[in-house]
Amino acid sequence: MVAQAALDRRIRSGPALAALASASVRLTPFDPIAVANWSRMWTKKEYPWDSLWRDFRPYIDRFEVAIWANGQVCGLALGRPSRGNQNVTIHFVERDMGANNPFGGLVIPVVADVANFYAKALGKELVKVKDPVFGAIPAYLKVGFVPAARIGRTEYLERKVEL
Amino acid sequence: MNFLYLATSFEASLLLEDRAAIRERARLEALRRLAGTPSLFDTMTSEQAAAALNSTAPATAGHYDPAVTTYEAAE
Repeated sequence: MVAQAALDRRIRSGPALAALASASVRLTPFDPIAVANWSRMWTKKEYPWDSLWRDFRPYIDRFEVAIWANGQVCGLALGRPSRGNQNVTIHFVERDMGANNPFGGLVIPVVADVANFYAKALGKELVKVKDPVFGAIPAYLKVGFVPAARIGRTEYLERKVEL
Repeated sequence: MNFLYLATSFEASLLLEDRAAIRERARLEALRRLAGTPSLFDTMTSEQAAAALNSTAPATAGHYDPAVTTYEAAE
């Protein structure tokens, strides 16, 4: 995975990410092991990822990433590409809010990076985030997202795909 | 005659290209398109990474409604 290679490179060379250097970091698609790990290990759960995965699984074209460190799932995201060339939309993102999550505030940058690579591979122009939670919006803005046009009552953020 | 030959070989190539081969072709094409794409982590400064690591913001997006089981990207 290209995003995994980029993250590994940055962990090796960036002093700020030294805390992750000793961790075993993996980015993977969803699978029963990731969902079971979420179910067992996360004490505070915002979304039912087992149900969400069941809903998204029938779509061949879907975006999904499980962020692992030291054998534990630290962050999860699910989304879908649009039918046309416009975007990949991230529908759900959550991070483990436990104190021992070494990815802390890095879940959004990782998810944005993976979505950017996926969008570019598909020839899309934008990555969108649907229904960003209010408290998380500053973290999205920090990695280049900007408020997008609201559709109905749904809020979106968007970021141009980096070429 | 030529048409028949072409049609037959086209059909044969379709049969030969199984799902694994199609996936592998798509994977290679995706890697070709991604060559040279900068990662967000390549451009993130040490200060930005440190600030992110210290963040207590929830990395959260999404509005879950059990009645909704189908998802489409907005366009």
